[in-house]
Amino acid sequence: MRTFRHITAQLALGLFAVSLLSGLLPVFVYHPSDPYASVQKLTFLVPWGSFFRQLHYFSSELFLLVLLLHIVLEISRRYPVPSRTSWLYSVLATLAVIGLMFTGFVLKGDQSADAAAQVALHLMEETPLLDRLVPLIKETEVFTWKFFVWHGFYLPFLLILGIWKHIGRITPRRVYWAMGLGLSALSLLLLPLPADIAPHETIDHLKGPWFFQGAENLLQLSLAPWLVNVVMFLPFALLFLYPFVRRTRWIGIALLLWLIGYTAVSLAV
Amino acid sequence: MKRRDFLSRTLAIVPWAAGAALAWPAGRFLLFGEPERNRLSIPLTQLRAGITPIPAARLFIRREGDAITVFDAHCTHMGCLLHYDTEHRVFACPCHHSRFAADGTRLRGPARRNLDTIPYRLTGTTLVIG
Repeated sequence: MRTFRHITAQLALGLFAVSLLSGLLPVFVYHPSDPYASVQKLTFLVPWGSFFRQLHYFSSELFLLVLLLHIVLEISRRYPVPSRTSWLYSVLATLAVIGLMFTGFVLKGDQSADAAAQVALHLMEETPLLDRLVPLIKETEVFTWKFFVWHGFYLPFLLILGIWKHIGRITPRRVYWAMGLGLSALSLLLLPLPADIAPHETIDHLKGPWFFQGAENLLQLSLAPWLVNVVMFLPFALLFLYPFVRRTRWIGIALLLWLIGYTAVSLAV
Repeated sequence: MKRRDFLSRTLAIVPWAAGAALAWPAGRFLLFGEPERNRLSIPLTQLRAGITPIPAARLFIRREGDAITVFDAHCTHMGCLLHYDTEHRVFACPCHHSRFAADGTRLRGPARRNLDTIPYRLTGTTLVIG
């Protein structure tokens, strides 16, 4: 009998495959030096451009959601912990997914993307040690260039490496290919793509990616940026520790509490 | 130790040693940040009284009589781009809702500092920033 852990892992792989393949085509239209205009061209001018953009968007969003479900199941149902190496690579893969989702959000180049990038840079600049890493994403001439490099090359490489080392394969079984494609297509048909906000349009409120909404709300409550970073990195620190402690139950409880707390803060404001 | 063992053990270290030797140059390479060198010249005749936004340079220029102040258009809280609300005469942050008066003074919201000002000089009838 297939366990939920197995099903969510394979479904996540299926969605990742759709996300990866649908992301290969927009690269030919996207220009980091003029991100907003090239995304608008992709969406409204290039034949099927909007379709591939939406397929990439929805498969990626679903991938993250299924991955989160996979982690929650892993923690809450207390399956036997896989080898430490396998586990650590899975955490690396999860970090890569968050990075991919964030850099993808920035690449659309509209006002919300610009604001999200500025907030991320400030969060890094105002946190000891992380401030040293700012040049890894900050580029003065072409703002989205380094985000593009991370999104298109380094992070997919890290993700594929993480998946490979975690479960020993990167392609899903055939039925999960179909499920990944089907779910993405269904979302594409039923859900709207969030509207892009033109660079100089006046707007009262900008939102970042949904998974950073909790951090945004904490910032709005005047929490110190370094503390916001601690909150954001806490689950990853706990996940890294997970295979090294004997009583994993407490780490599992801490992670679930964090998830509940973060969801509540995200929905609060 | 046999010569064959010695050589194979020595060769096994080479990739690690090479990696360690390259770590410092690679780190220096990746963490190199180029300073921003934005330079902008604006004829004074283009500056109206009050606030003139310069979106391309992400600046606001305030002119009150002969007094000119150049503001960085980023919020001092988290760096989001500010809008100038002409009706209420305030700079508004669309991310976390900080507000700044037209003279750059912080009014409310999570920002803790007034707006940053940018140095400039006047060359004849031209304002040179940067």
